[in-house]
Amino acid sequence: MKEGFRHSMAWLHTWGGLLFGWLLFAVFITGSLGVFDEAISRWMGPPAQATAALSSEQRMEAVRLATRHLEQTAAHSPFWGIRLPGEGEGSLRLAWRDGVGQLRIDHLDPLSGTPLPATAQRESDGGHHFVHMHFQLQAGTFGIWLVGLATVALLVALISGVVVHKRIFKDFFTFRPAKGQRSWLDGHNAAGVLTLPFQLMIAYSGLVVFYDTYMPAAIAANFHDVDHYEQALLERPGRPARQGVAAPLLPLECLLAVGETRLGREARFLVLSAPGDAGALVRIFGRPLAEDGQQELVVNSGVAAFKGATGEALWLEEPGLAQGGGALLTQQVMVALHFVRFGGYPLKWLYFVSGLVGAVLIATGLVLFSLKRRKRQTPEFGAATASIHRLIEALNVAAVAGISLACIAFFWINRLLPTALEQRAEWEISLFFAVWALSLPHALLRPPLRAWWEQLGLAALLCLTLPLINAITTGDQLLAALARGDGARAGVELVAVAIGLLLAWLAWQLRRRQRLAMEPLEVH
Amino acid sequence: MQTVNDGMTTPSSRQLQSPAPAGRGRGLPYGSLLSRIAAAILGGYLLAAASSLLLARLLPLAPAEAVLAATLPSFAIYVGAVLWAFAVTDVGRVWRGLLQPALAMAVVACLLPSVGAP
Repeated sequence: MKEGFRHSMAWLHTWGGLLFGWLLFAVFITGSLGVFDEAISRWMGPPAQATAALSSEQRMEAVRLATRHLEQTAAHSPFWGIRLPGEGEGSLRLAWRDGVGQLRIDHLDPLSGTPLPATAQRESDGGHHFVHMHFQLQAGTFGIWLVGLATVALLVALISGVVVHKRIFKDFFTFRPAKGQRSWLDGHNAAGVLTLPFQLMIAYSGLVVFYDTYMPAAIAANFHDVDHYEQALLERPGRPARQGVAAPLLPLECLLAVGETRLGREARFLVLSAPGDAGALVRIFGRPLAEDGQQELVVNSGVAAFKGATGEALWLEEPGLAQGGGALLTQQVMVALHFVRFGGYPLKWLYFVSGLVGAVLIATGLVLFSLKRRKRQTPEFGAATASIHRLIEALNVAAVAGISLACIAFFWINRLLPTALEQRAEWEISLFFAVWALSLPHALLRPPLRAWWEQLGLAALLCLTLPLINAITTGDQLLAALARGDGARAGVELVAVAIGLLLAWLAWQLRRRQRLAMEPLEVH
Repeated sequence: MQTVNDGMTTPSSRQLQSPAPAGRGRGLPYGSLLSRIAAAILGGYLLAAASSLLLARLLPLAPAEAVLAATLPSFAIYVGAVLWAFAVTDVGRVWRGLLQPALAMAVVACLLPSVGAP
């Protein structure tokens, strides 16, 4: 291989890795947490109510009560969402948009239709916050594009990393601990080579999830719009258009009963588009079964669609059956690989660990960048070199330690914010970003090594004491959750404690290093 | 993860060797570097998009299936284009090498009939 080629790939790997590594670390850490979004949502939400499963008649009655409530409060919303109780959720959850386009949520008692007070709900985005951070940084379409660009940069960094790595096989068995930069490079290489197939898969499948956003050229050139394309792809009739003519809705509970019969399983939620319009569309989504995803990659729990005004059946996605042709199946398998909806908990754990190793890969790469420049002061930015290197160090701290701190702080914020707060879920997310944002000035004001261990140490403290704050604020204790077999709640705290121990060890090592070395790493 | 070591080891520069821009650029001005980055991001994207346009009209599949099958590999083309953009010495050649085939593929795709409904 020509040295020139390796040289340019090394440059690309270094600088591309640095600039996008800051973002990619956040994407990896929130994506890893997002693997367990349901367990985190369970932990963050209200205490699980021990409600018996609703009978078919009770579900119909619940939907009737939900419709009555929505007709009174949300007549002009462009959509209604009705989630039936189940899977640890005791309430009937209604969603709609108000006059200014803000998403609104109400909880009802499923048997009486009485609205449940907000204080009983601890309204929170829960684990979905991490999923939304992961794919759009909570920044809408712009965030989706930014994450997409970073994902392309990740693939470029992975391939250029393999190119610059001359002795890829031999070095995989090499680890020289406590040898400074050498050890960081060994760790970086081992993390990268060990999980290379996973990182390539997760990056490419991540792009494929949003292929119609990222690469719409072929769709736009051959179809009138995305709706027509999707109809052709799924071989189903089009969605009814909004008519602008008011038409009464058929009783939703009747459509629910028909939908459940057609699906052959219980419904999980209903979505109405353009309620009250002659073109209203009702979609009834099936509830996933425990055995879904054990035998197949692409899990489909079924959708039955009806015209809301006439009850005409529009289409049916049968549960367990693949849709469309080979290309669609290929895309769906890649999406399934990304979302790990198959294989149950063993696979989720494998993804969680692989994702964290990916985060370690990025963090060690960022640290290596700065370690090299501390020792070899090349004036790559002329007179500004020292201050630019200092800024890069601080950004490394905020991008790695700062986001870790913000993630665990999010769990604390969830427990400390008053449950009656208006827009509580939005407040949680704003405070998450506030913690992350504050980590940068802190990193700029402190010497680098000190900033590293202070932020990691605080994150460790918050992780280790998470069971404590939960016990104080909710009265629920880790041991009690374990005793009653609530694996989701206990699991969140056990993982937090395990990660806390790891971070505490790391922070302690860094602190010791700082003391021993009399702060030789300070760059002012 | 290992501890930070302020490092008594010599700087081993087997990897990540030099902060110099790609293409053996000894003191290349930033303008050339920015042009290369723009070529990689924009030119690479246009090449990938054009490849999906052409492939969608060539694949012997049902219309929507052909569109999807043509779009899925375009991300690999994008990644390959970015790598190539940093491996070539001459920035002008990078722009030409990305835009000429992109334009050619887009033109041929336009001459072929649309596969989907109008």
